[in-house]
Amino acid sequence: MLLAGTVYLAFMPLARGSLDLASLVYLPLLWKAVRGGLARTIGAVLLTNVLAVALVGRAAGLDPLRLQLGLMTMTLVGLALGAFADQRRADIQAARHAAVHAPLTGLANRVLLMDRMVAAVHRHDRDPLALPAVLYCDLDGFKGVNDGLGHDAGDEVLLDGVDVGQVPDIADWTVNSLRQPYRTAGREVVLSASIGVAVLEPDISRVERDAAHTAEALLRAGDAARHRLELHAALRRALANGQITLVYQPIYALGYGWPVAVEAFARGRTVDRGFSRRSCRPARAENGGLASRGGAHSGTSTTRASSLRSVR
Amino acid sequence: MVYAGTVAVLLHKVRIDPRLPTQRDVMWFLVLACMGAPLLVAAVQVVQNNLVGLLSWQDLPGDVFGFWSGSATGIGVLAPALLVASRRWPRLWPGRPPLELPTVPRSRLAWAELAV
Repeated sequence: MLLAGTVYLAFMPLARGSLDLASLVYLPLLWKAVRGGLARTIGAVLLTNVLAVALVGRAAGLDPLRLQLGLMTMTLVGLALGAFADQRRADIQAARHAAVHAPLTGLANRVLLMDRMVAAVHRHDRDPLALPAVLYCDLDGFKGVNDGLGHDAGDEVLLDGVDVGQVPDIADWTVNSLRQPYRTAGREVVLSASIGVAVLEPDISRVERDAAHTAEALLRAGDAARHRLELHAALRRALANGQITLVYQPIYALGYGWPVAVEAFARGRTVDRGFSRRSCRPARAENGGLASRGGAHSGTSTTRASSLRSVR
Repeated sequence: MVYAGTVAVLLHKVRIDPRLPTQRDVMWFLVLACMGAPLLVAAVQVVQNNLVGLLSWQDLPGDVFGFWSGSATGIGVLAPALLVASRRWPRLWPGRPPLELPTVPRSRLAWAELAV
């Protein structure tokens, strides 16, 4: 209505050969561009041209060139204004998004996390039963992926991990889902996750400290369950195929002349991926969560080692 | 020929997105398709009409401006409307990415909002 009224005021005097009020049409055009962007400006430009031509008609004494140039200028300026408004809106939205999200994964960054934590504390103030908590998830062995397979493979695994994390389920489900092997850079990668849980204290001034507590809880959880990525997949395959044998190395004390201890090694015979020529201590398998499967393989040998150790 | 060449330049040299999603796309479209090409076409048309005696050489600038402003207004009014309207049918532009801004899906936001 505003546009139609303005066009009427602007172009009706043209019947008398006057263009004094023609510039009025830029006001609603500017309004449309700022409020609605390019799409609405295109509609306004189209409507303005149709109304102007309909109003002016074949008015006597009117210079058609002046009218055509005026409409052309109005059309081009209107489109440029609409594009400018759209671009500015898109830039602002992108800047806002980039300020609170990680560029690779699109997940919320620390700024947004802290903002939500403060909001959670406020909610707790209003409703004491709404006690907020934070689940802090860390991918175990992710540094090994980056160092061993390259950052591109690390990014790929990270994005897969983010897809797993899309389901807002409990921590156990997330950990079990992340343990599924990933194929990246032509290799199989097995990850796991450590999740620390912290309950926020309802004191806004201590939100930062609560975040530190959360990180500390994460580290504790991670230390208990951290896996060695570079051997994990190979060990699982080797155990399943019976390719690991236990060998023992007695340790002699020069002063006594007899063995005082026995060191046990798990040796891979035909295992690929860098494992074939090396041996590793069972402690590594235990660290990788494979001790239970390896236990059946080495139970009697462990007993022998203990008895030998007791010789001293 | 002139308009086809302008379209080729816009798509293959300047490489604008014909759906006009950014200010750069719109400005290049306005400069080349709405102003440059109609001016060239108007000049050729007026000269051609003068050569055959339909228009006089004395009115050459006014005639060129008249042809040019009419063509530019027509293109500026109709072409952007059609191009922007074509965003609703992505099949018209195969191989081009969706125009939505890089926003995070609600499911990912939900993961980030677990603490709330």
